[in-house]
Amino acid sequence: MIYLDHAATTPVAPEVLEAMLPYFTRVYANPSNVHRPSLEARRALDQARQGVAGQLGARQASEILFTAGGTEADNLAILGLARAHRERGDHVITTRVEHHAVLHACDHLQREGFRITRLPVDEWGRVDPQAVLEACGPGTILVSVMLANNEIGTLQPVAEIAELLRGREILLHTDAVQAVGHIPVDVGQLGVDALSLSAHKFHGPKGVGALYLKTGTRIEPLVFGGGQERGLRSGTENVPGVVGLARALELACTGREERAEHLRALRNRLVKRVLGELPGAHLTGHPELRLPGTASFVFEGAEGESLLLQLDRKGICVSTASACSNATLEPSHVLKALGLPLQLAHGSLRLTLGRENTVEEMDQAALALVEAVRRLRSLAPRSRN
Amino acid sequence: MYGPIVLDHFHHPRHVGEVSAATGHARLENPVCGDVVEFWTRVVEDRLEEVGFRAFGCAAAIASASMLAESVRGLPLTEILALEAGDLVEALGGLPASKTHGAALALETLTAALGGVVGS
Repeated sequence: MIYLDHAATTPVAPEVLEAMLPYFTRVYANPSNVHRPSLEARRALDQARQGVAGQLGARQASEILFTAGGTEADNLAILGLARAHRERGDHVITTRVEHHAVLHACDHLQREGFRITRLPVDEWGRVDPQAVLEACGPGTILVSVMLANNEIGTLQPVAEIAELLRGREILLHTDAVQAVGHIPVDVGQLGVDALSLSAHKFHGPKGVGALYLKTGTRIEPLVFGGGQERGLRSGTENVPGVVGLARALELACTGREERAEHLRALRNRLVKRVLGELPGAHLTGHPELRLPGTASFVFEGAEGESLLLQLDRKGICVSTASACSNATLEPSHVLKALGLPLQLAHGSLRLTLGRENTVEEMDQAALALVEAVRRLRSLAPRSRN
Repeated sequence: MYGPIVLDHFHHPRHVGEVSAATGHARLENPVCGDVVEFWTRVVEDRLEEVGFRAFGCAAAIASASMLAESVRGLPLTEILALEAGDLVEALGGLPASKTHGAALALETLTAALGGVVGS
């Protein structure tokens, strides 16, 4: 198998699994109690929080709230921040290319009476920082712009946006689910008030994520109960998951730049071969300002799901955002936001690389992809070729 | 998501391409998802002597057109025109609910082709 779907999820690293295992069977006590086994679990939780805070450049460990994943972290940020600051305003700004965990949370806020601005992006999927500033008004309380896009890998100018918002009482959240562990992420340098991440995107376990929340930032919880996570996210802590998240982040940040260089080289090789051998193939997203391991294409005359199935038959795992792959029969909101014609958006394919991929795999994948596109074109009505 | 019959027809489509001395041709597009199916037919004495197709779209669209072409070749027109999309879905061993439009488009296109030159 050649796994090229790392933006969807990654395998748990053996070191991560090893770090987690004792917390399933030996150190299983509830960290909220005061007997010794509980204290051991509490220590593990504290260490993990400290470790994550350190990797993200947070000033204090208490700025890290563990959640059940990236979606919950995004929901908590959007709903929790907007509701907690309602008395100051009712306006939230985001972009049209955010993950649904942000966009659907914004839709929900709109139903609660908030005003939402969904800013357009350019042909590469980048939002203009100046447009963010211009969209701000007296009632604006929150801006949410993702750090890296999950479909096309484009990086957003979050630090520039933070700079423009400086001095205003507007909170800035970034969904960094695709970015953390893959590019440098430092909350201080970014200048954000809140940042979401998810462990399984960087070789950690599924079902655990975190929200960085700058000290002093008011937020309303979504989950109520025993008051864990400073009362902001109740529920018995997922100790093995949190330990796994922290270990995975530590591993991802160790030697990250060398790994990123390796991924860039592999991806560029793949992209060059595909674009070189296939007329009517186009790279989507920004050519330079993109995640190191993301190659995303649209192909004229070949539909994405059909391509995916042909590659799957050869043991190559990829993703598509084509209309046929959605229940609504419409292309993804990201492809639409790029302004791609429907015909082109139909043939989208995303190949996302990981640390275990090799040069040989890139060549095999490129060859298989070229053959698959040619084959589908040979079946298509002539005027499409 | 797809059963073995759908995958077989998708990976090994039957009756791809134009038909010589065709008596009918149609090409229809699903304006929502962009699938396009094109059929050529040669009818002799109220019987479909030859049929061929081209398709652009997901596996359901391609497999539906292939299965339809294979199952109607040689049949009298009355039998073909009595077919419903559900029959085609059944012959394919079922399709996910969101994919049955592929079968409907294939059948509509074939029906149009049997009615003469329709579409672009």
